[in-house]
Amino acid sequence: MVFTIQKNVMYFMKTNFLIILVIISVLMSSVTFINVFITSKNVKTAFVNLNTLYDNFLFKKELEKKLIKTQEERQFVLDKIKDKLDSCINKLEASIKKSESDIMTYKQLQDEYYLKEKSLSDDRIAQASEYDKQVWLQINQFIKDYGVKQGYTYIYGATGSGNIMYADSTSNITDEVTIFINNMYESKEE
Amino acid sequence: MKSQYLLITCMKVKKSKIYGIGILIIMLSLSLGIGRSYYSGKLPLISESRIANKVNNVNIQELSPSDYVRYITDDENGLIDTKEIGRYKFELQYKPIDFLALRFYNKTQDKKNFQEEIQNRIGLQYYTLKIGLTDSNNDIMTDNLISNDDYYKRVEYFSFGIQRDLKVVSNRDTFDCKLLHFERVYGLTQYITFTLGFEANDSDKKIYEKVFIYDDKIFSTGTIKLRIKEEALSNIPKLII
Repeated sequence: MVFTIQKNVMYFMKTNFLIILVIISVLMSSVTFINVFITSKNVKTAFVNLNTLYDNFLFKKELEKKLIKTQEERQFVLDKIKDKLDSCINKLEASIKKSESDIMTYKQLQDEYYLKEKSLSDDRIAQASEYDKQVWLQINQFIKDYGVKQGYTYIYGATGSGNIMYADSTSNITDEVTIFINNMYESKEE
Repeated sequence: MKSQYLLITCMKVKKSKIYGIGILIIMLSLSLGIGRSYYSGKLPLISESRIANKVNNVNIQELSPSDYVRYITDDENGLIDTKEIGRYKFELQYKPIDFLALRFYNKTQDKKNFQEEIQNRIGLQYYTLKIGLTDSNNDIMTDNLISNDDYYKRVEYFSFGIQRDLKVVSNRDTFDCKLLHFERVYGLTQYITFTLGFEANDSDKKIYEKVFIYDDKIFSTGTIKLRIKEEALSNIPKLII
């Protein structure tokens, strides 16, 4: 009985081999097509101009103001030392016989000025770098939140340095994301 | 053999019938709204009959102490705002004075004492701030530390220094932090908790939204703003004891 069935199957396969092959290939290509179709449907992509986002981010603007204010305060301290140094130079230039103590004072003030200038410049660089870090941390977080909320698979960041060579302008969501990140920063977004 | 086949077919029919009836019940309950409110994660907490009086065109609910506490601590009611920045999570809870005084009432059940507790707290607005890590169970107090010295600096900052970096803005007025209590939990929880009190402008009876600002100096997250909306503040129920 079993032998007869096997024999029949073998005979069927032999006579209809080509048909079976065609059916299998049609089935496989359909599965692949459906898979690609579904996947391509689910991938939602867009890009943002990171420079525009950075420039229009409220937190960045606030920190910029803060940085300028601190810079002005530092400059004021530096200017005071500069004034002292200038008056010391004037005094030295005016006197015919330059005293040892005046020369010493001049040298001390000059050292103090250069040291202070260097230290304030280092502080400014460190502060600007720290602020930058904070701004990008928040921008990255809020773009991620936007992506999750809007169901994006990828949001690319265009910086103009060639990481995105071409993108359709309809995929540019910079304006929407700018509004979103500013609302998130202000905690106005749900 | 035939009877076995029939039995299996009957069972299949019965199973499919049972599934069919089940699906029908689920669909009916969904259409009735029971399922919908369940899936949205929030069953109606307070019945409509408890909406008592109308003040400033807003229905003010009157709630028992247990319902009141549940309402205040339910994040659906807008008195809690959260924000995640990088690896850190910030959560702000607005705490009405009644809510704070209730803790003492629950101990003593003395109404006079409860009123005294309320009077003692007038003049400040109260919040709880929680800061935690989003991605691990580590203790935030020891997270990203370089030395032991840094740990003590962190403790000192959270105990005192942070007060300078906390503000509440309401109706264009900026209020300083006048009360700070840092709860030391020694790694028992995944977050650190601060009990905060800010100045309050009680002369103006109108309710304005409150923007809490924390200028973070420890985790490099920058300025954190959290908001308690005017609507949420106007909807705070009346406590009935």
